[in-house]
Amino acid sequence: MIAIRNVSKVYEGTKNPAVRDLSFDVPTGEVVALIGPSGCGKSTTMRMVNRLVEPDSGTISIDGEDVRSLRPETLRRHIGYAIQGVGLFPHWTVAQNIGVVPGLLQWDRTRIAERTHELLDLVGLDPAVYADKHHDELSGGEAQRVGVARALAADPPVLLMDEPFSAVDPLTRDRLHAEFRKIQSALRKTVLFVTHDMDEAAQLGDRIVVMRDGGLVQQDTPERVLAYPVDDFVASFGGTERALRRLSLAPVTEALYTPNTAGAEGPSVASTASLREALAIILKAGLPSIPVRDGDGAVVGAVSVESIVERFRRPLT
Amino acid sequence: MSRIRHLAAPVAAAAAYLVIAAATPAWRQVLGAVFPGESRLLYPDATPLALVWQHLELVLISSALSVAAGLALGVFVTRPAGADFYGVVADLTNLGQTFPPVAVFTLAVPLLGFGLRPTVLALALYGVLPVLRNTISGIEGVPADVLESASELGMRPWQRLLRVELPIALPVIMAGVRVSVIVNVATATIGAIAGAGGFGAPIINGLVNLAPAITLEGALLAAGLALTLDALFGGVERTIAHRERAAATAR
Amino acid sequence: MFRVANVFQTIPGLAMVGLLFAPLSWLGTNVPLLGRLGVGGLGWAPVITALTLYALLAVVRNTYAGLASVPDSVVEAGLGMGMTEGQVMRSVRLPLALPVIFGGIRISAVQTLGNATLGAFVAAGTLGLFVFGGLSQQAMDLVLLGSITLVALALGLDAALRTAQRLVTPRHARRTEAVR
Repeated sequence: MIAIRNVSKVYEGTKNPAVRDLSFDVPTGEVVALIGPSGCGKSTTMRMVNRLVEPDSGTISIDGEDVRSLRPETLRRHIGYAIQGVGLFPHWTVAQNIGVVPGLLQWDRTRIAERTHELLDLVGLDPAVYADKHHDELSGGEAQRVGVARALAADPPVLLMDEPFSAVDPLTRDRLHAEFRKIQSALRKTVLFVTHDMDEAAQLGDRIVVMRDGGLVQQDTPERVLAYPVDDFVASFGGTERALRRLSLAPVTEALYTPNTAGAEGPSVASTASLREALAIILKAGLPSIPVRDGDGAVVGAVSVESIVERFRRPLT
Repeated sequence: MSRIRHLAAPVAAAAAYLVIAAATPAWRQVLGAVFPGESRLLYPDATPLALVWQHLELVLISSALSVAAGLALGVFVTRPAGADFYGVVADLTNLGQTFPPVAVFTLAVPLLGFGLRPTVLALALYGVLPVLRNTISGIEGVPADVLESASELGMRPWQRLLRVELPIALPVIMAGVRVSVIVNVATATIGAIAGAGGFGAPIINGLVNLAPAITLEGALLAAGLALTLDALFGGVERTIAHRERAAATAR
Repeated sequence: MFRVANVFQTIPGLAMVGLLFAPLSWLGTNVPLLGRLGVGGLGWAPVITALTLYALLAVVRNTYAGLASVPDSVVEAGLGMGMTEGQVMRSVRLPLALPVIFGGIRISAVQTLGNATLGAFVAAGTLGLFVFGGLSQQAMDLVLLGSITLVALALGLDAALRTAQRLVTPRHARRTEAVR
């Protein structure tokens, strides 16, 4: 777990603090999204965890150990780091890029090669094709995947990510989000990532921390932040489509009901889908309700506009 | 008023330079103190100030020619009429960059003869290169959409050139002129060997006759002129940039 | 530092040599060790000194530009992954900056070749002897001989160093080769 306690930072030559007495936790195995407008201090905060920036006051500890107790290089070799713009080393191949931290940790060659292979598979890039490519031969989405693979290379327990998916088109980004969720559910890393996109924060985060002017404004699950914003600022961050965003966070099974009629013909929605997808299908079909099918195609119930609205109106626990 | 501020210091420096050059007795005194016992203190054939005028004459005339030729050629080659010559000219400028300046000068002098006029021509020849190169790159650096707006406003080609392209390219062109002039000062120093006068004369005289004071006189005058001119150009460049910034913010 | 190197660059070559004449003569006479090495107002000392000062600017400027051209994200990634500053410099910045640095070396080398002709003025020989000596005696053949050789050497050196520069450029940068 990452424990951030009363951390403050004022950059030289500026009057206002970049970070003011900030405290929050990133529980082990969870993803916390740091979100806020430009200049709110989220990137600074993240960089204080791996000491690229040193706080003026306060402490940060990982699993109980103060980050200052280690040499910065040593600390960073055990933290995965993925940034906007990726920063792939252009003079090295993809494989060499991924092998950097294991190399710094002095793993032997075979182990590095195996791990590289494993990671490329994990991020959906065929090792045979991609291992020897260079940065300029990759598309934006491919480069970001390599960035993630590189961050995971030495199997660090903690990951820091600064808008790692922002430099690609929305379609690719959705795909990368889905893959990240899949990887994270398997690996259960402790992840702190920074974003300015509420959708991304809601999609990837188990918890959202909203920052403004260096301070913490609200900290909660994505759905609660969208449903119960603590002030107008957070509400506007959620955007005017807050309600629709919330819909994409809840699975369709939460609005399931058993219909009176069998009605198993026509369009249906998978039980793994979100309320939002279900609503989209309902609207497109022009029907009052549609069946919900599980993985084997069997009908497990139905969902309708009313049941969705009803679920929506239910207060969150 | 504020734009003149950039020129104030360089102009003052230039004035100081001329004043110092004119003070022949001071030179004698200072050099005499640095080289006690040395009787050959000053270049016998011309006073320091006379040397300055000689050298300036060389530099200014040849630079004027260089700038005119470089500008004209650069403009020509970037017009539709001159497009055919663009490749050749571009290649020549690239080649010319590798040419030692001295070589252009020394190759030209035998062809053009000795004395003042041929030396000036030879100097002008090498000086064309930086001006030409920067004129081309400056004009090419004018954004395409600005050119389009100018055409749409109904400007004829030569109006566009004078009122849009050249003013925008001016800073880059000016940088090229600056390089040309400064290199010119250096090459003109060597021009003395072709009988053209200037600072090279005392420098070489002193080296040949082992009269360090005379060499120092020439060297100081040469270095001083080069630095003063460079400072003046710097001031001009900053004034241009300042004026553009002011115009931009006024929009 | 740029300012200083820039000032040196502005001073005409012959003037630089002239400025060095007196101090180097003094050093040669008054410091026996240097005198024995051949330091003096004439000879190799003023030429080498002047050439070095001139070469300095091009190399320094290009080295700085080369190192600065390494994208910030790459340096940050390196540091963030746990490289020390030294490792970042050695493994990342220098290799990536090398083409530009080498370009500066190339430009400087060709320039120095031309400047070396100044040696003729201080009894240090060089092609300048043909070129300037020829001029002062109005001997066209000497001037041409010297000048053509000089140009040939300059072009040859430039070509050779460009090839070397290409070899030093890592494959990834060759696509966008803007060799200056």
